Amino acid sequence: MNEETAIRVEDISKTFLIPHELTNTFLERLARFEWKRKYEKFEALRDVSFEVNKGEFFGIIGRNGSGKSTLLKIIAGIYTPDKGKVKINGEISPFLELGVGFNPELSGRDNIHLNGTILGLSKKEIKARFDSIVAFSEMERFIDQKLKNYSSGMQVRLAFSVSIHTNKEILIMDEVLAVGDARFQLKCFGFFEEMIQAGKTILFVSHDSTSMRKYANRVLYLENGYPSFIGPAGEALSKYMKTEDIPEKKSEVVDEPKQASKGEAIEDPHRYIFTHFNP
Amino acid sequence: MLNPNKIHIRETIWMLAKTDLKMRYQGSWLGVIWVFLKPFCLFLIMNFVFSHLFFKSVPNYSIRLLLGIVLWSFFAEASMVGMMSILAKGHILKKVFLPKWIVVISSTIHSAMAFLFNLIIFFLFLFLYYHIFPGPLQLLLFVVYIILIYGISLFFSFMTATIIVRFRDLNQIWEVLLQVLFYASPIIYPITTVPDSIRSVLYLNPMTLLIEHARIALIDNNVARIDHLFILIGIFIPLMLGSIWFLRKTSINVIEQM
Repeated sequence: MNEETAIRVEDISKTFLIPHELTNTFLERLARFEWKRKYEKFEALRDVSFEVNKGEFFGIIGRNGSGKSTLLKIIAGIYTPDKGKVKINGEISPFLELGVGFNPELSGRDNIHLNGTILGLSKKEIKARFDSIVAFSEMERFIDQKLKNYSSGMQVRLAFSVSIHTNKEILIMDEVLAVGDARFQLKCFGFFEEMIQAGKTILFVSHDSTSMRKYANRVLYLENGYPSFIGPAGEALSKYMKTEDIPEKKSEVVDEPKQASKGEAIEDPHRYIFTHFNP
Repeated sequence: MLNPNKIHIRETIWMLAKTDLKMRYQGSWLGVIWVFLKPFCLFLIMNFVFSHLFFKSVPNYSIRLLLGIVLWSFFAEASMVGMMSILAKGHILKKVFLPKWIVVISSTIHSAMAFLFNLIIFFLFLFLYYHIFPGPLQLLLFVVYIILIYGISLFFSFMTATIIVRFRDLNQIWEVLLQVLFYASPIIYPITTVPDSIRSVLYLNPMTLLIEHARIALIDNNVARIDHLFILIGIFIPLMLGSIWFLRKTSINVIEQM
């Protein structure tokens, strides 16, 4: 693999077998007098190949159920593809389905320790980065509360903060912006810019076309599990809009500081990142 | 596929185990009392019933019973939580790759610690009440027996932790089997009371051999037939390796079935 390549996906296919009836127990299967389950095949990914270079902001778009999350999970090593290979140059920090595997019964503090460890940090590293993790997520007040008392936006902020503080070469970001507030979204993008400048790679899934257009170097458009287009963001997006018959319009998602500060005063949100983010 | 990320294996196992402890006792160290209570209640009941009714003539019956229950509880607990481990950690495994054996082993740490606590109480009884002091060879053999019991629990855990994802009633089945095995092991009765013809069948259960040998070492201060131990180890090692292979093979697509 080329030195400049961060991720190389070769000809990946993945089919899920979905059983017709959910017979999850021995007893049920015995009672039905048939051992073999009838399956329906669902082709989640078909012949997906692409390369992501180091320092690239690579976007993935597609409808719900088009295989985006499956693809990310295969790259993160959670699922195994039926066919094909994934090669990765460096280590991955996964942020999948809005989280890093938090435990709702534990406090924010304990969750940082648990998930930091799972993501490959040593005890020392977690200790050193703990304050920075809390500061980035702005959870100082709630850090000793159980996670189940957090709002979904707060949980995502904390999870995102943990995942970026692992300081890995590749970040997998699945729908980071979905529940965070505008201010947090800004902070995320400020952080992404920093990462790209530092030569890190970002794999970014989002339904937000404005940020895709603004930040992504290249975009992969998945259509029912098949990579129907890889290339510049603008082209990928207009192909997506055309195929899915979505009228193109200016996206409502806020990504300008002016709009974000509506109602509350933020002088310069990026300042915050620079002063607090120090992995 | 291999995960490219490196983790600190020992720290991860310990962190997962610590989380289990926290969840179980909700931060209160008084919760440890429950660890003692379960086996000792069982012991008190069994002791009350059987030492007076049936086994009056068996020397040191109570302490033999206690050792049997402590060893058995360790096996039953560890194999049960080991079986449930991957399922219980689903919320993490769906989002972050972790080697599955780490998850299984970390879940059994709690049982191992509970066992050590129970063992301390057993030894206090043995020394202070019975004035029995096993020799160094006996203690060494006992350590080998403990390792084997833990190994057998891990063997069952490795074999079942991925299967239960597809068959969710496996823990119910295992609970029933454990109940059967409990009475098929010489825990409440001495093996000598069993007729010869049945006794060889009972020895098919590895816990029978280990519990009996542990009693011979610690309570009789003697050395049991070492060739039996070697046969057990000879059977155990390939089975253990097989279960590690099995876990690796079945964990490839276990997450997508959760």
